[in-house]
Amino acid sequence: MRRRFVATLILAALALGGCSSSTDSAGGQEGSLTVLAAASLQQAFDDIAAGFTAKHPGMSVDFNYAGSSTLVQNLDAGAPADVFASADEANMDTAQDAGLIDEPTRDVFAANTLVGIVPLDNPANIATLEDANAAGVNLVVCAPQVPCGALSQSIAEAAGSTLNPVSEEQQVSDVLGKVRSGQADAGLVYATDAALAPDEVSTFELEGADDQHNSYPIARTANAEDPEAAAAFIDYVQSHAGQAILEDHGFVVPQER
Amino acid sequence: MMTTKRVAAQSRRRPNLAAGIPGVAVAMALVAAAFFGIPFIALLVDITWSELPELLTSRSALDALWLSLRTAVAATLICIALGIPLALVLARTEFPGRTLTRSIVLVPLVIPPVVAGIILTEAFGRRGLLGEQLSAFGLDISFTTAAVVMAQTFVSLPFMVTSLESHLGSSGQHYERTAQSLGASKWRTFTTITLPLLRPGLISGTVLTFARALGEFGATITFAGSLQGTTRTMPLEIYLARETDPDAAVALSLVLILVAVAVIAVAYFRPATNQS
Amino acid sequence: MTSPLSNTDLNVRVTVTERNVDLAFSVPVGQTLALVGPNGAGKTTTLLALAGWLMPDTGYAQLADTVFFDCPDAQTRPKTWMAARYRSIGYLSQNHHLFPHLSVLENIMYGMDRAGITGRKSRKTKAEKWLSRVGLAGYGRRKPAQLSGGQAQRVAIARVLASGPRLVLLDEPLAALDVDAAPALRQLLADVLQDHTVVLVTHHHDDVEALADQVHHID
Repeated sequence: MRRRFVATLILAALALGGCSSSTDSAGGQEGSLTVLAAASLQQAFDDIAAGFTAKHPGMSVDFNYAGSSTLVQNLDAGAPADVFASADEANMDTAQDAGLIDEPTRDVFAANTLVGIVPLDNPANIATLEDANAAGVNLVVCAPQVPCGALSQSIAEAAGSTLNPVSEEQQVSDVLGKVRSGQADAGLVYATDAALAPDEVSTFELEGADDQHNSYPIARTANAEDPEAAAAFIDYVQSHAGQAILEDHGFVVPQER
Repeated sequence: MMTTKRVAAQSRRRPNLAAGIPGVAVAMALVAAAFFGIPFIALLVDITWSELPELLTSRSALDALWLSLRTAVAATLICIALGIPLALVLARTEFPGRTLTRSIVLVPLVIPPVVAGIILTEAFGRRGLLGEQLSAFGLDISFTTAAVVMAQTFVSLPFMVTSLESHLGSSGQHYERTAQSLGASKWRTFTTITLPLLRPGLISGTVLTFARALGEFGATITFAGSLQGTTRTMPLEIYLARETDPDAAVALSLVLILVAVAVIAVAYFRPATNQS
Repeated sequence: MTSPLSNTDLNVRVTVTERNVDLAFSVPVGQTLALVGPNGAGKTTTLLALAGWLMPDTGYAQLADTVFFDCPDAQTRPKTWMAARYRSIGYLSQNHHLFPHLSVLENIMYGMDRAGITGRKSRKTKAEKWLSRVGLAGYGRRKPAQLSGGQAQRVAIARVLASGPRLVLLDEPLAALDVDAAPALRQLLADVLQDHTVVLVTHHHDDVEALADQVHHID
């Protein structure tokens, strides 16, 4: 339902795009934008870019998707970028401390929770986090050094159990990949990742996962080439349309401001 | 006067004059050397030497180093045991499909290591072609140290085979034929003639193989996973350290480079002799 | 397939169609036969077939009661093909092919098992004797790389003969030597090959003079 609504919105925007008597003051802008975004945002942001460029026909958006800490290092090394969207506050803090972002523009635009996944046939019969931590189960999680892994640790701690993985991956997509291929019996991934492969994995709820989430902040970079366009993009991400897209992909969105 | 000149001529050494290299080539060689040298110099400059001991003796670093060394050594030994027969067969026998076999053996050289990891999973993972059968017997290779050795062997074997093959190709079979004409059996010919003569190729092959195994990353992380002490080798540890502790990553990189340089130096060390 | 002339002789017949080779000859045991003819006539081909490194289209080779090969027909497998390592046939070409990683003495000792000399000590003694015989006493510890062409060829001769072959094949053995070294080696060959059955391929009239009991011309 939501998806169709968003699609209609986009089509309408495209249709009206030609005669831009838009109320948006940024309408009629030209140029290109570079956005550094956490890997887990890829599918959502691709859709958001489509909506954004429909609304601002002269603009194009280039993405660089990677692990949040890598993106911070890239920014530090001087990579040209206008917007940075991180998978957790910690990495955005690092960027902020290094003077890489424009602090007043920083805001949380979405949150991600974790969910447990198993291969479709659930060969090890996993239904809870305790099951997943049992000896002999091939549990794959993110390494604690990455946002997804830090979240896994806190959820486990809150539930009073210890993670017992056979592998700690550095990218959430690798955790998903190992469960999909059946190499792993269970994995802990973002809800957004689980939504990517509904035909290949089943999910199970993690105790207390709702109370734990990673907040995704977004900010304009300090050296943005096109600060106005960057601001427009951030606005779009936080607009109804943007938030709807994020929700569609499985993110939790902040309440209405 | 004449006598003095002759004496002077005798006391001056007469070095062999080489044909020489054009100046342009020398200049380009310097550029190439700089291209290689500068990153190493930059690395050495960037390191905080005082922090080094602490960074390098953390539990995770030591685990990773020990794991890397023993898996790389195991993989190299396997590559020697498998590479010699394979190179011999490819270089010295004719059979239908030889070119195809050689191409397949060399494939790991040209594919991204992650792809190597993917196909290893297809074969030996839980649900893989062979893996499924092995699983039925309770043998689960994925996520074990054995899987690390397999991944390293898979990507390093081509180095051993090419090193040996080029050596075998150029030497022909006359020594083997001579040995057999003198009555030696195939096995005796192999151990007393073929193997000893293979030594230079074997040494260079071993060095390349070990270095490649030590630096293996993509196939390991895809097929074997990453867990401290079991499957997280040095390259994986470095990659992980970059997330939260870039200084540690740099320090560990230095260690890896030094180990590689040490191995290569030992293997290729030739004391300066006066032999003709 | 004609019956052999005498069953103590070496009887050889070889054809290789694609190389235009078709010859046949016999050698009484203990004698030396020189094969003489233009290049490409098949002399080396014949020696290689006798040594066991080349399979002819058709052919037959037999010495006393040992049949080295019997290939009646190019299309079918040979009736008999003895592998090279069992033939006990010594082969020496202009390349000495001394094993570069072994010492002179070890080279000479290499084939002695076949000659029935066992035990390292007796092999060593025998090898030293051979070394003296070819005029290189004291050279035992050297490596082939340290020998001149003539010296290496002497060691090669010793190595072949020390392995006790029942037939010796020589393919232009003196061709790689310089003019000064050849006569001495020719004389040496004449000496050491006296009681052996030998097939010698050569272009030099001097070789034929000094070494051959019989000559077979190939046209």
